[in-house]
Amino acid sequence: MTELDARERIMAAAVRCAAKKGVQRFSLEDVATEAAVSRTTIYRQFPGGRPQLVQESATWEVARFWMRLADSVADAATLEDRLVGGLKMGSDMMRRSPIMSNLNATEIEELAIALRPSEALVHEVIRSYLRDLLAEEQIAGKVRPDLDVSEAADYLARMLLSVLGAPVGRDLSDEAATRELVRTQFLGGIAVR
Amino acid sequence: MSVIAGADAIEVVDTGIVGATPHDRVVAALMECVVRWGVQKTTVEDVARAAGMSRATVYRLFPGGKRSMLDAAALTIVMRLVDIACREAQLAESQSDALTSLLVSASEFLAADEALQFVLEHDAGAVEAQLALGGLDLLFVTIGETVGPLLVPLFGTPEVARDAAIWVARIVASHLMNPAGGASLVQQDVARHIVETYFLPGIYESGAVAIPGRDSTQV
Repeated sequence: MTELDARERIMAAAVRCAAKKGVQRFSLEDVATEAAVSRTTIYRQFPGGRPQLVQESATWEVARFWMRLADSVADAATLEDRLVGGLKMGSDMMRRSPIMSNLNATEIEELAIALRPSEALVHEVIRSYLRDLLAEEQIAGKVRPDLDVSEAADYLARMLLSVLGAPVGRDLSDEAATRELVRTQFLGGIAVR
Repeated sequence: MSVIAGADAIEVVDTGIVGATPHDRVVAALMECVVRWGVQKTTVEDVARAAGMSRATVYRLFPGGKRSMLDAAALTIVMRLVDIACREAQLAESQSDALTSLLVSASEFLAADEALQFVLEHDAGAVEAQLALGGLDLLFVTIGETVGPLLVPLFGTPEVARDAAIWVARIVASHLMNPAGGASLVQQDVARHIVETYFLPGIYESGAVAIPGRDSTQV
């Protein structure tokens, strides 16, 4: 088992333990059992112990969330379809997540603090993903020719994160309503009609 | 106290510590302490001392301790924000002016709040936690229900007006937690550019057109 394998295996185990027992209630012993490694191995990979394991596993899981989301819309025909699909799938994944649906106030605080350092990086990854898409669409003549692609990617990333995090009573699994939102508030000033 | 702009709500903003209600004094004392020591290190004793009250009195006012004081502090910020937004929304004469001045005034207010900026710089996770899982949703709903109705004369229907108010709140919150490099929403031209480039075209697209003659931005 390579170092990277061991790391990923331990983080995946930590995520499973958090899903089963709750973010606050799993122990390093639980993770060691789940990952079939020794506690020494965990400490070698995560010298900071539980806090470091929680922080890195949370960051890793968030990165995987966005990768899965990107995968799920990879075949979408248009930017609009991709955004609609991403919002639907993203809200669905969040709703079904056993970790997300069982968080208490203390756990939310712990995770929010753990995830904050990587937040800027997550934003940049989403922005650059959208920037590449917008650049392609611009060449294809589907977005305004005078659009500042970097600025538009920043705007779309903010809207995507905002709507996923706080849908304000919108049911994002309602395809027609979500498409209307994407057409107006996301792409209204971006797409060529 | 009414959340809508009114004499009562504005008075709290200007009163400072002396003369305000005991609750307000504790919240103001909490913010003073947070600026000095940060959220984690501030204790209920510190707050009591700064407010000139006994620890027991503070606990009687806020049985939930520091957590409930922080909630009250957040609520205070939101209520003052709503007051400012309601005032701006009523003064504006076009859709573009309305959303631009909302973005600018809200961003200015948040940038000027020392306690909030201190926490964002040193302990942003605490703010994220406050907003996570429902908090942000509630904030947006509140803005939609208070500021939205005041935008109806400019935006035509209650639905579009509410969407516009919530959109402003989304953009302000997003920039507060993750500022864009360089461009800041306190700059009038930056704010107007976002409104006119990304939001207003979508509104015209959906067929919700403003009342003629009241909107200078409409083509």
